[in-house]
Amino acid sequence: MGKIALHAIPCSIGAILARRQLGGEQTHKEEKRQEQYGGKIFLMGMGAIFLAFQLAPTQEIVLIGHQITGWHAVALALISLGIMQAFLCSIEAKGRQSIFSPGFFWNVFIRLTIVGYALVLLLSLYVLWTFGRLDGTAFSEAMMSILVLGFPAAVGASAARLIL
Amino acid sequence: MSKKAGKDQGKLDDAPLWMWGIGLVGLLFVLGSIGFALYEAIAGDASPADVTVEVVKILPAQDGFLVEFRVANEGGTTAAGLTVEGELRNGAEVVEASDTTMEYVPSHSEREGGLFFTLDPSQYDLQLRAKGYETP
Repeated sequence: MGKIALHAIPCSIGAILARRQLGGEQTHKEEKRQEQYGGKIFLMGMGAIFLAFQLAPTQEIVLIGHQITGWHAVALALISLGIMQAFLCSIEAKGRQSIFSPGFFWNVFIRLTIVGYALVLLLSLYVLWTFGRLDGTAFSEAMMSILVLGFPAAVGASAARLIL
Repeated sequence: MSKKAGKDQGKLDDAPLWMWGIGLVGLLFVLGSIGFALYEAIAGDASPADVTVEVVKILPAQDGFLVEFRVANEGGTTAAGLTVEGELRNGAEVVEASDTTMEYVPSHSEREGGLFFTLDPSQYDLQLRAKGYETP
């Protein structure tokens, strides 16, 4: 039963993906919902879960967490934030003159990128815990694994608006 | 085009207060994570693996007996491929020995495993020790 429940999660995201990719039309209501703040954050969460579920069962995430130093983890976090900011700025721009106007840039950064990355880290924690990758692990090791998984999950979250 | 850009500008700038509140919570969380990673980088514990093994339980198994043990790594480095050996001694003589390999024992963490014996461990002097590891 547990296996079926676990499998249902990536399968359901796959179903959504298939609908978008294979030409299904979005209803007006769906489009409106996606444009709201809650909808944006929700989609980011979905994208993060999608990629996190693909990668958390693997050994490499925890192994990389053991092998890297704190500096690598900091760099990963900053790169994740940078990628998210780049994706979200271009998605939010929609014909704006300049992406780098300070008001717009920091607006997107605080409201979408930072909140999105915090959500990505929380979801990475949840998915790692689900797959038993955090059992009996000290906080520092768990945090490293979360930051490592957070990188692909962040890419998934920011790309979700385009794909899902 | 500029009218639509103006409308989008309005949508983003008229953010209600709770949105900034969520942003603040998220910011604290992210800064905390990055701060933690920085702390690990600068002042983190990089001491070599310091491994202890203790017996948890001795159970009868189908072909003999099972000794469940717990490995604790107090050091700052992960021990990979850690071999744990258990010996049943009768005085100075080793009556039976079993060993197993733990894939990873991360720093400041515990892992559990088991060793099978054909003789009853409670009859002899059971000694468990970690024999070696590699740095991942």
